[in-house]
Amino acid sequence: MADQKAESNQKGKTRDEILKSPMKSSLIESLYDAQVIDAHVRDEAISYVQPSLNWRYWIDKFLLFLGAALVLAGIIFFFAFNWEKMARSVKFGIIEAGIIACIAAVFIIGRQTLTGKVFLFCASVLIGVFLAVFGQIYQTGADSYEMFLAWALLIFGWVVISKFAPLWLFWLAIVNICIGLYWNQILIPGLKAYDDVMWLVLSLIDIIALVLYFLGRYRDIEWLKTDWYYRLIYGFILYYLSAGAIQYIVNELHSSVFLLLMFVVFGLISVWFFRFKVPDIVALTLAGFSFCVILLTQIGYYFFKGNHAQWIESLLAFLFGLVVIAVCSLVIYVLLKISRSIEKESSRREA
Amino acid sequence: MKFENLKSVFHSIYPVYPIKEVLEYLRGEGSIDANGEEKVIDFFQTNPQVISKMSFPWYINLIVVIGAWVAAGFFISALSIARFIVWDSSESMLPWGGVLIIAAVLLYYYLSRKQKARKEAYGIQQVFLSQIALVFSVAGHFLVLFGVARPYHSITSSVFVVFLTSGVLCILLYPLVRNFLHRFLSCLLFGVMAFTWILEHKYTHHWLHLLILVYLSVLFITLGYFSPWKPRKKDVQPITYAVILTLLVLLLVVQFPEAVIQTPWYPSNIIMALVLISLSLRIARENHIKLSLKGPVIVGLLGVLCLIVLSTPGLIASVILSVFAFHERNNILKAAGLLFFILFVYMFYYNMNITLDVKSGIMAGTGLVLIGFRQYLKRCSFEVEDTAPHIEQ
Repeated sequence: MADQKAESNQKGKTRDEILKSPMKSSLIESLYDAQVIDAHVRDEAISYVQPSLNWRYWIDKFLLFLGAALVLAGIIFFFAFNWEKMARSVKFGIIEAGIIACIAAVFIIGRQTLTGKVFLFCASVLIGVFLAVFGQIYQTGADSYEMFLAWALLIFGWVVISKFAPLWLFWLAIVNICIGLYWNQILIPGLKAYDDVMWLVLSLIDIIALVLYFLGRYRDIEWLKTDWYYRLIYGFILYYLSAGAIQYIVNELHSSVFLLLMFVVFGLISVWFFRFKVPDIVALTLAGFSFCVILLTQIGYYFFKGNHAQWIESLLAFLFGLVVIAVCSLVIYVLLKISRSIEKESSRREA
Repeated sequence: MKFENLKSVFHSIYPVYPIKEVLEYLRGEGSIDANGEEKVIDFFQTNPQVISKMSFPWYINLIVVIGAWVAAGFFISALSIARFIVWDSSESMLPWGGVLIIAAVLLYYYLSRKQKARKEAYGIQQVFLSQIALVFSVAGHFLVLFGVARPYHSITSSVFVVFLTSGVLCILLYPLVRNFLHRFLSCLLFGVMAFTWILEHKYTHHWLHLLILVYLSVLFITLGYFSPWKPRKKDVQPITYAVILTLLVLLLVVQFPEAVIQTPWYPSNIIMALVLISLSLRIARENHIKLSLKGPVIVGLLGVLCLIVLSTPGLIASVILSVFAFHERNNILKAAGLLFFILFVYMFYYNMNITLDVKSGIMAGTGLVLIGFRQYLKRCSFEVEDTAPHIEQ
């Protein structure tokens, strides 16, 4: 033990620490560069730590999604071109036939398969196309938020039974758009001053979606196991809160102060969550970036508020450049430290 | 609430392999013996900075780059407000640009020396200094390039001078600055200026084919193909990444109607199709994928031929990027390849000189063909030898 400690002091890490450290491809390349291992061993080791991407899986999904997207785009283009010439019944008939065909395909193929889920997604999109066509033909005079509301309500059942995260995200996007339109068209048309409440509502809805997502993941639900779903929702929440907070800073809109507070509270809780409960450096980077933007906006606002003499402005611009570097460096440093800790914890776990 | 369940799900997605496990695997495979294992451990003990050195993931690099550009903007503004820089005269911009670039090089040199000497991990001071070095370099490049372009009144001449200067700076700074991000940005700037210069000349658009050939040759050389010289990956990786990104940006820019390209695309299409086939075959061989089942291979080759005849060159290039992503085992490049592919499909249909009616038919038809091809592929399958470790996702 004493020998090992002495060795550790002389050379840096103990044998045990080294063995527990994560092996990355860059380390393997360093071993090869130093001629400790040959090319064959390097290739073997890299194949082990970075297994080949499963190209068959990738091509399969790629062909399915691109194929479905092109078919849908083809249908939409067809409508756009032939719009004037078509009778009402034909217009509705084609869209309804498309919806029925998609649902029939789901019944035949089964909604458990990926193809079935994609057909359900297509049917949900076609419902929106149907509502848009309906609104145009009958000129109901309804506000556009109503179309999105009807769309969200009509497809909700399919969304629930689909067990398909992209469809859930699509539904959430429709709900977000609906609220945004409702706010601007009904509640406070033209009164931008109350946008802060809209940011708050939108962020609260997405926070609920995020919490539900993690509850689902906690219950080990298979179809929620892809990371970009929650990262996307998390990114949108940060965007809404940051937009509100920046509005508070730049427009000195004191009613928006609660958005800044909420950004701080939500930021702290989410950082704690993504650091200790569900370690994810990408989510932490999103939070770090938002923090940089808000802090720099605040500092910049104080620096450049009002008129100054030319030499003071020059000095302030120079100082602000330094502040940008300092804030970014601090965030990067913290992220690197956390990333290192997460890696260490993971490798200890694996060991 | 206990999150162990949740954590275990995440750890199964991000597998981390301790050195011990990799060494055990290599011993099990007979690739190294006990002596070789000791050599590896001894190397890490005597070079602890290798383990401590932190590589920046792309999303952290994004903050570095955005921060550097914003800060560089304020530094230049400060110099400008103080009248150290006069925008009408290159005499004031060039010296300041030169000084900033030299300062950046010295900072990078200091950082690399310090890291080697102390054998320590990235600390706050190193991160801060490397950020300042990048800011100085960005601001320096901006001033030098504007400075050299200022005396020329025609845009074509200015772009040509900027292209040459960016090339000189790239070649000079590449060996001096060993920072991945700096090297990547420098090569990217040079590559982008090369095609900007060609696009500025109405009568030299056919040179684009030559430029694409140069890009692809550089890509192959840096990958160590067709050459007895196998470069060290970490030395040439920034060039590889910059070249492939520049190629895609070039092919995207030429799609815009404003570019008014006056050259047929067949030469580049054929060159890229040959590169794609050769790259695919090579990667298949390296990954022990037997191409003995002829069906899918023939369909794939026919697909490439169709792309030559029908497509915008960007479609083939985005497939090259995807194949390259598999070679690099890089999910980010894979996603970029997919995004570029979708973008080029969109551009392809957008630029088609036919009515929307026919276009809609072709689109829906293509979609059905792709879904049919997927079903066909599901029935056939490539044989994959079990000699290479393989994890199903």
